[in-house]
Amino acid sequence: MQEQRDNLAGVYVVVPAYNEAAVIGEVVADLARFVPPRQVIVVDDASGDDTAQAACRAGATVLRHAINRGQGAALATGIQSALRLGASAIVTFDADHQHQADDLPAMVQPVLDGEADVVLGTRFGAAQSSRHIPAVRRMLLRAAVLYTRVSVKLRVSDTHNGFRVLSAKAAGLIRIHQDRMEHASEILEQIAKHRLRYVERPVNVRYTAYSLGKGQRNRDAFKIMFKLLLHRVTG
Amino acid sequence: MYRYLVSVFVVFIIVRMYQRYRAGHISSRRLLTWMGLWAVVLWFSWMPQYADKLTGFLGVGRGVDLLFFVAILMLVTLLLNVYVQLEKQRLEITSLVRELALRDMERQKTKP
Repeated sequence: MQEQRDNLAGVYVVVPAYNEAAVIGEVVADLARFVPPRQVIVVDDASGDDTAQAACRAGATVLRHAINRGQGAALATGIQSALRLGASAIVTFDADHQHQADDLPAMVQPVLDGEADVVLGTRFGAAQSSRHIPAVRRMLLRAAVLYTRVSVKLRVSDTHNGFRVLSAKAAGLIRIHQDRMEHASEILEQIAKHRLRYVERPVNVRYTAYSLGKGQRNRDAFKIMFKLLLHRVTG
Repeated sequence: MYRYLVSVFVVFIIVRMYQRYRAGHISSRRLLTWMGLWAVVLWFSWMPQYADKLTGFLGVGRGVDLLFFVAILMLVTLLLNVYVQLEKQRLEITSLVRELALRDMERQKTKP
């Protein structure tokens, strides 16, 4: 375990969080099995509960947005802070405990080995994980994959997985302007724009009543698509 | 009767735009653009026969139909403009919130 931790010495994990006081402590503790807790950066997006305090108690580095700006904005804040703290690789990780820290070493390795600038987690690589994706959600994700292949010509199998790893170089190049859920598609556009080397790795996603309740609604997919198209038109 | 009402309205708008220009709220380019547009509206209201010729040329049924088409185009353009301005403000607010959070982090780091 210590050897694994030494291997991940320059790795920072960014966890954007909004009203996750119930689980953020467990998430930080889960990640702390692999990286020192101070290298877990929780960005509290103006939560109405004790998310920031719970994350602090768990030993994370905590940043707070004064007003709610959205997951994309919180992620960008976390990535900037990680770069300022000297990260060599930055992991993005959801705060609702859908992602499993056990997948962290395998996700980070391609970046540490210099094989890729970006590692994208995919639910469709691990059969066990994709089986539990609700049917309508699976259909929308497939549509999003098709849209991504056509619009930015990236061959990915999961376009909206918050578990990804960026090298410091990639993190410095990728600009996240979309504050809300559209940021996931924007990150893929930026990967294509900067011609960053990317690979996919399977990750396990645990769907619980809590995480499904907090997650995106299926109809948000149309809002995301509309906002991305409008952003393209207005530049 | 309507041309008099339109004339009063256009003069009012032009005077307001000029006042905003003098106060520095709009540029001379924007002032001239708006004055030009409203001058065209004024001209067509007093010379409707030219509107009929134009609609015939464009293949639009009536002058009032052309007016609606143009008004809709202008509204869409304005709306897009407003959207762009709002997006700019959104980005600025997020940048500000981010900077405050990052400075707070730096301050926490340097605290004994």
